[in-house]
Amino acid sequence: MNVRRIALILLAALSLAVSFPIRSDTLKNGLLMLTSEDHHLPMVQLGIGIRAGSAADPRGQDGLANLVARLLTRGTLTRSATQLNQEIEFTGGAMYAWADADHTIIGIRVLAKDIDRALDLLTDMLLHPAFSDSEVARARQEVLNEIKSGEDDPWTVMSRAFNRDLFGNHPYGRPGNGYDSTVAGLGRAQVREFYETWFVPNNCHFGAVGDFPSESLKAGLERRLAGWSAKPVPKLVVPELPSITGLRGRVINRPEMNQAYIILGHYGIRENASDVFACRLMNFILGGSVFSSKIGTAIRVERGLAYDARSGFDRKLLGGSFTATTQTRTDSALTALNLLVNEMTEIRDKGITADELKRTRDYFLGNFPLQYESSWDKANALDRIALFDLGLDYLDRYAAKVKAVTQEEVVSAARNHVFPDSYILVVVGNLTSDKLHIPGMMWTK
Amino acid sequence: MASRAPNPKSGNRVGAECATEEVVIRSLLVLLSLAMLSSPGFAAGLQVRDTVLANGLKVVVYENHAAPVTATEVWYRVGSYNEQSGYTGMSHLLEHMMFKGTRNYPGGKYSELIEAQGGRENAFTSEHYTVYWAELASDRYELEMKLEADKMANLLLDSSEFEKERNVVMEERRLRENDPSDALWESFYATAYQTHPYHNPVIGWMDDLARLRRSDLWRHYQRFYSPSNAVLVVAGDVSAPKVFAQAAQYYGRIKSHPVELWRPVEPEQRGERTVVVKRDVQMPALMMGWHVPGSSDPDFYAFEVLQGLLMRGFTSRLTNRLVYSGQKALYVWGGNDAQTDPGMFYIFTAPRSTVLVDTVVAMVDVEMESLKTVAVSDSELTKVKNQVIADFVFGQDDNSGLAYQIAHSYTMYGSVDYANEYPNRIAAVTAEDISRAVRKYLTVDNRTIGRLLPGKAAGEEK
Repeated sequence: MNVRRIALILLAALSLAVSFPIRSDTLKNGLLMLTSEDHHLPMVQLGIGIRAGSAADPRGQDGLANLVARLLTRGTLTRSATQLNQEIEFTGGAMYAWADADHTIIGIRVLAKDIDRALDLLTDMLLHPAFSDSEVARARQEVLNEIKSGEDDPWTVMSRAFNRDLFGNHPYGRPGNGYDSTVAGLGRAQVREFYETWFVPNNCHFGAVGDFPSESLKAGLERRLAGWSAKPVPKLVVPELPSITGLRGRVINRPEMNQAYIILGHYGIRENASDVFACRLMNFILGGSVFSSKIGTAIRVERGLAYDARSGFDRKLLGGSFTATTQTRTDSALTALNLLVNEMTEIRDKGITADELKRTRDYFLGNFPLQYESSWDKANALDRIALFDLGLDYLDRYAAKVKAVTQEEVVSAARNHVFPDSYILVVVGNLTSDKLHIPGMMWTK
Repeated sequence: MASRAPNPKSGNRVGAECATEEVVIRSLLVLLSLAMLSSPGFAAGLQVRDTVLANGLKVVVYENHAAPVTATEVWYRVGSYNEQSGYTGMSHLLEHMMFKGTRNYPGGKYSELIEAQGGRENAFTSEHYTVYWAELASDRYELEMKLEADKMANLLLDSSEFEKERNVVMEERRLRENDPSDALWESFYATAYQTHPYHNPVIGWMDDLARLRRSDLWRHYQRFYSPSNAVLVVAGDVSAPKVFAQAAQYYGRIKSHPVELWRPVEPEQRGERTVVVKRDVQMPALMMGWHVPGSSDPDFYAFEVLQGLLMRGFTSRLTNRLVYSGQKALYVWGGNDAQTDPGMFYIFTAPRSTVLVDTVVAMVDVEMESLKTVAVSDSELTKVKNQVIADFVFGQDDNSGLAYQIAHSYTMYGSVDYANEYPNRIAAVTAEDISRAVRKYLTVDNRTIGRLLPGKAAGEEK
């Protein structure tokens, strides 16, 4: 059987886009509740999203949101850290809490029979965190050690430097877990203040996926959250993004490394940007898959220069970034770097073919059901829909949005959002900037 | 942009692509229906249907109509376990070459075709198996059957592609060399095993990679990629009779030959071994491990329970003592990596400073001593067993988890029985079993300790 025949056989089936049902409720106190019942397995995944993450860390208190998130699983007014964790672990379930730049998440996964206990624990963590001095001190020390440990990981070193150089004083420029100097100064008072400011129902959303009746889940939540009242939430004020012009680069010398870790990029788009689909399709062609994208092909497939080479948009609430990355042996750093920039230039100048667009559209449509297979995937989708205000019909509109993207829109997306003449570069490895001759590059020491 | 958490299997599982960083912990996936002792619908375990084609290919189907998606996996019984000294890394390099074209679909056509259908495809290699997987919407999984069968019989192993892909794998190896934890992991196994192939990393030694020839890989392919040495699993929204018919259509004509598998044996360890890896790091790391028996020995299941008791979750013993209440380490993880062959029961941890490394060793010793003499409480045992039950359910939440669990059981043990019996075997483990197993195996003479410590490379000390 040849390739063309297979393509023909499959053509007929290509309009698949299966979503999953989402129900939306608003509790009396203003909390948005998104649920999706799914009874094929006796399990549930529950979570609360709080619309404040590390971007809400006050100046000089970098790392605060991360510390608060960590402390949510470290005890409530009536349960010690050990009791709290023991209760969930004894059921075989698990709980977690973390903060990213835009929000904080507390989640629990349990068997369906344990849903009441899970709701008890989730709401206890949400409403009555202890934030005891001893737990604050313990968590602070953990974070300080993690920051130190991050210094041993070239990927972390590279990312921290890149975000700082790109975003400057904007909160996205600061690392989520903070700096030694800021974390050391964090205490119970700051933790409490962050919590009091942002953990209010009108600033949160609840999501649940799995084997439960939505009606009784809603009643159970309403009852447990009865004393939790809405109140005004401050608007996050962030500085303007510094403008980038030309090429700015930094080399972080690590004599022991035998590869150069390379990242280059610039500002990107928000998740709710009007041309987000055109950008996503464009990026898939440019650097989405290491096996078939232009960047993957140029660096890995055709030249064997790296295991990994890709590009992507990191789409956040207040902005985002576009980055291209690869890791290659030290003496091919410049070659690989030039190939990244070259592909960014080509997609702007030469555009894409109708066939490339067709294959990419087909990928997005065919891949759609795989993205929402597990409870975890679905819960994550509910969280993103709420956080970015994508609309309850987001998944239903997905296929139409993908199909509507034209060749011209993909090219515009490249021209409006990929800038090979104006980017920030960070290289970590056993080299110095004089080994990387890039015309027009302004090196930062 | 997030920093990457230590990957429990990063040292011994390597993949063709890094896009999907899989963290598949065998013991979390190979879990069964203890779960369901209380839930009649699941009491019989995973209900699979299987058949064997005339050429010996085993075909297994798990019908799961929860979502219109499928996971298709082909497992070959070959990995670093089947490699000789001087030729390490062959199985994994061959895995990479399986994406580089066949006579019918040259170059990168395979990935192009799968991706044009919205599919995800990848592969990984371990000590005992090489796995090719694809996830596709259920109206189009047949494409993967067609293409994977073609790869089983018609691989090109093009010479120029071979040279490029060898470089890709060398870059993959360098990524590990630049990760201090991986460097410790590799040295640890090279110390704990002296003659057994577990001594070698799955990805191979750099020197061997440089020396491998296309003809070596060709022999490896000819020798191990026989349908009789493979298992095909399809899990998802499919019908078993239809899958069997498709399997016969696409795989049925592939010729088979006997595959001779050799069973290496590591001599008994008589005396503690230690290894130190020095890197320019801020934080040290520590790995401790003991030789423990394979799955045919009843003590195997005691170690499966012990890994949960010691290292799973906030309230597990070592997490509590080392990380939370003791505040001596940043994290601790580990487990029992024995399968059919004996393996290692190991602990991987990051002491918070160099001076604490030996303190942590001593704290682990105290814990082990206590396990030898003080019976584990019922509630602690029940907690671990409940975790196994819950994992059984959680593990069915996606087809790739199901397919992995089923294919692993078939590949290593010949049927789904291992997976289906697992929870019962776990349920049967007693406090006394654990004490006895710890007394017998977790001894000083039987252990290896690896330490990652800060230190400049030789040329830099000026």
